[in-house]
Amino acid sequence: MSQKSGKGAGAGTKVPVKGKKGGKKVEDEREETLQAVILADSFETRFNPFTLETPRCLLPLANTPLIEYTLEFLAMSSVADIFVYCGAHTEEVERYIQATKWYPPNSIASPFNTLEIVKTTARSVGDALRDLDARDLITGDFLLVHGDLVSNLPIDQALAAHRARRTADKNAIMTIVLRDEGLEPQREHSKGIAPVFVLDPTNNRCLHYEEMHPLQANKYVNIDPDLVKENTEMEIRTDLIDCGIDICTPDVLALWAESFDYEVPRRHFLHGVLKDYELNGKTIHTEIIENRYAARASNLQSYDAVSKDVLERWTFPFVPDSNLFAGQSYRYGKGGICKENGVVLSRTCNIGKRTILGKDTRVEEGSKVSSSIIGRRCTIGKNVTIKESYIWDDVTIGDGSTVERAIIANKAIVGQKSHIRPGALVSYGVHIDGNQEVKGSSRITRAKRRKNSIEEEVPPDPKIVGETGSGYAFEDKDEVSDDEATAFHSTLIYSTAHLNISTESISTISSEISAPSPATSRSRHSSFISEDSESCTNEAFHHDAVEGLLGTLRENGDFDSAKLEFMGLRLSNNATDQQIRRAIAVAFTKRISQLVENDKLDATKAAAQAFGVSGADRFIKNVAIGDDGSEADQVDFIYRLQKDLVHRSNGAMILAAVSQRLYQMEILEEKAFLKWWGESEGLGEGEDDGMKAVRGKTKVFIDWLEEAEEEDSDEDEDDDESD
Amino acid sequence: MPYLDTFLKALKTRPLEWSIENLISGLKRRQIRTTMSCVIATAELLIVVIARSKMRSAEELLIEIQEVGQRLIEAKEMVVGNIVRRFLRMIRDEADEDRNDDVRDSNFAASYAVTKGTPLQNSLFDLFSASNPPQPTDTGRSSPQDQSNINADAEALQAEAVDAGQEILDEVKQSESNIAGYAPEHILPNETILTHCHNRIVQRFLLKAAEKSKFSVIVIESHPNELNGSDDVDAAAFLKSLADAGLTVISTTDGGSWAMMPKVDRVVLAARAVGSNGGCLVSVGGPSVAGVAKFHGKPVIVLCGVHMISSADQIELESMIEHGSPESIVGNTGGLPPNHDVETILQQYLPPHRINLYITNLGGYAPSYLYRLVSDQYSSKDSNPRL
Repeated sequence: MSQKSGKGAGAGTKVPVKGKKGGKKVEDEREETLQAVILADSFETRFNPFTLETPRCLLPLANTPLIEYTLEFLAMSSVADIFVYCGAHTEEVERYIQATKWYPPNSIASPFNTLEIVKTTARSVGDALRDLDARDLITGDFLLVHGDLVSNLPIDQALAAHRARRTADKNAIMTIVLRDEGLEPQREHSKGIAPVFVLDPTNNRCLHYEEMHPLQANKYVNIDPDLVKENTEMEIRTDLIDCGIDICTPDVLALWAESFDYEVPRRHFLHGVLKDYELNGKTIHTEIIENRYAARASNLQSYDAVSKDVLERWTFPFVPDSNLFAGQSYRYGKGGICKENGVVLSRTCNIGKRTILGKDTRVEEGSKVSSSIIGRRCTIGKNVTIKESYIWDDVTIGDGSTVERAIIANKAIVGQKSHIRPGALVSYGVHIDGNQEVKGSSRITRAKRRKNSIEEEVPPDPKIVGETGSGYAFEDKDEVSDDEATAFHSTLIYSTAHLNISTESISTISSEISAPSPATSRSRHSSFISEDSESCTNEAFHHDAVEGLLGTLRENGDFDSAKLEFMGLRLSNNATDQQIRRAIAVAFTKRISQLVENDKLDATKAAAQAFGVSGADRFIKNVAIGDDGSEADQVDFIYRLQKDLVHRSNGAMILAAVSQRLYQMEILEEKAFLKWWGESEGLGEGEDDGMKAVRGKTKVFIDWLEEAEEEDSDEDEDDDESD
Repeated sequence: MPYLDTFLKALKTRPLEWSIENLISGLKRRQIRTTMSCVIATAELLIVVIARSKMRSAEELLIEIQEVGQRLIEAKEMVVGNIVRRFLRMIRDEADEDRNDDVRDSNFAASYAVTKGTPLQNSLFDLFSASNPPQPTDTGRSSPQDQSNINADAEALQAEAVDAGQEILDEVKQSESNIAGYAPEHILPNETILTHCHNRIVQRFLLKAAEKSKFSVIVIESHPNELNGSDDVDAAAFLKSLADAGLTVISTTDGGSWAMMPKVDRVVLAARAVGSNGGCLVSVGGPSVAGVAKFHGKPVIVLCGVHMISSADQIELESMIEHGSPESIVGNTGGLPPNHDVETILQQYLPPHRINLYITNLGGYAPSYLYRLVSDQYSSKDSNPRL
């Protein structure tokens, strides 16, 4: 079946022409073997609690370990050498792969020449790739894929296009395979972070890449004006599903090696390389597919989405009844039911459409199963209802229970008349007692908890699993500080109920978000900073400015030179006064909260240290407030500080300390403080809870100011009288 | 067929086990799709299995082929199973021939010994008369000369089997042109022929007939075409080749078959798999065209190679129908709404009473007569679908 090429007609015509040009060379190079690198672990914790005990790539999707899909895809692409990189659970992945048909040493039937599991201490994708570069294993073009890829795409066309481009131009280093999601947003569409690709449709070149975050204040992509000048045509697309298939030349590894700070392939590497086009001249192209399937099960929501796609057979031929995985014996029956041998269904049970049942699973009388995947050797009791759920192997579900939109892992037991609500995750071996209700947000595990690198058993929590059950609610300490809003990924059901993503007033960039953010009221006082001025903030300016100032603060550098830099940045980005104030406020609060958190400094001392940097007072006075020092600007600056501190821990303490400090340094005047306080108080019920909480601690300071003023005015009066 | 080419290339150099696994994965991943390439790959593989076999008797060879065949059949039933059974039958025949020669040579004493149940040492007769043949070497009474005799016989059998396997392969490869060769007998000048989809055999059949006479062809299009995929040629190429041959070509949708049918003289379809009951699997939409033809009393001709005919009945044929991705029907919509089901069957069953004639590479047969071909081709011992 021939692939229809990308969007523009240009794509269709350009590629073959190029192919012909480099035709002879391509012919010569056809003999060269194709290599592939699988990132079996993407160094994230999105599948917790399941990944506490099993590596992500071995989690079953439609009763087949995820990595099998990836390996099948690579076998279909005639890849010769494969290098597998994994972070956590390396031994387990190694043991698993060595036992499969793929591992060349113990099976002459493997289609691969080599399959190597690379042991590494890498903590990120960047580390892994730099390690790969150091090992010198890659000799030619290679495919970079993730261990959770499910795809039936024949890579030949994209590969041929890539090779043609590469022979024509040495700088065409990478081809990204993207899937057009068509008219409607697809299930796999990343609901958390939306990638934005800026493409040149005439030659499929990727010009710019950014990620949009749902919590992001503004929905703007910042395109370099030069790009607009150089390219007559441009497509800005958010409808592309990034399936994580990259065709790379070895130069890609060299680039990774050069940039030590790159950690993730898209947000860092792709964005960085494209940004530095002027510098290194490397180009990255895309191949957009429209009529084949490719997707990653990269988080629980996409796991759900890809599982549904398998049930609906979009992944054909990678469907259970192809029996690709050794030892499977699925048959596709009427109504979309896939059954393995030895399934026992009672006479009165009702197996709905789009269901997969593994070997030796029993479904007792009166039970209803629909749109679900049930693993091997499971026992489903009487009158059980299972809907849109993923039940792995050896699970027992007691009579009269209901399971809806949940994942239940191996060997878990659900007692009689229990209810597993939508979104619940029940991990390995958990025993849930009878008559329990498992809430939708719960994640229950039995894994040993790691505390200061000592593993310890956690006693069962009877509130959650019942009197005789075992398991406790899993909480991830890292998650809260995780810079990618993990809350989006670690739940099975995408829900924004607990996150307020619609407000435009959360003016932090994605890296600063600590979920869950407070609900922000939209009814704001009219005299406050207008929303418009804020929503057109220039995100790139903000980011660069904050980074620059932070650097100065950290190194205790000189603010006079920083000021020059800052003003330059301001001019080049045409930033408004509001933006400048915001950037400065964010930089200082960030630094202070860092000092408080990392160096365990007192908030007052931290504020003193931050503002004590030489030239800082003048800088704030001149740049942030403006030379005339108008009251409105001062009030605005306080608001900026307050708003940023809402998201920080100890925000209230810091705000109090900062206010005091700025007053002492005579940067802000008492009138401004009082006006700010008055306006905030004036909001009453309409004020945001977070904002209110943050300014709570400052009340003492304001009271003191008020008293001082009263005294002042008393004195004035006295003076008047004396006059 | 790039996968087939690389497979055949590797077949000569790679270990056998690798080739078997590779073919199985190729079949499962649908990288080898068309009936013809499935058949060729299977036949080539089985020839290599025979050639590399270290067997010492026909029984051992049969077991070996059965084991490999079993694995292939699990990957893809239809034509692969037919070819495996053809090979099994062929080996049985070769062994029978040898035995007949031996029986003629053997003396009375030998036959007498068999009736008494004592194993023979100087003949291969025992190998085929007992289901679990006693090994001459195991008895410990064999002389070195007998041993070499057996080896020589086995080698001869091996060589004969490879040759016979090659014949099967050649027959399969020529089947399309053989079928096309019958075309002039069935298509007369100025007739109107109706066909469904763009099958390769039908194309060759019509083009062959066009050499003798000029006629009109009505091509019924079904959407989505790619569903009917694997044995089809590109629609535009199909129509163009017919037009270039000087035929009058009319394309219409499958809804138009009812209106067109009165003008039609014959309906020509191509089968994917044929059962011994005379029913067959055809492209999706084919049965409805055949139904219209039946209503109007027009003859329906189905083209198939003999290798497509199996002992399967209707239920077995229907269980072989593949279900593909819904993408070809609803497009790239990204998931179906909960109450929306898409049945993406890739073949459809055409019952025997809708078919008037099968044209195979061995000539024309009525559907009711196909069982004869089945019993000619396959041994009843191999009729078990799971071998």
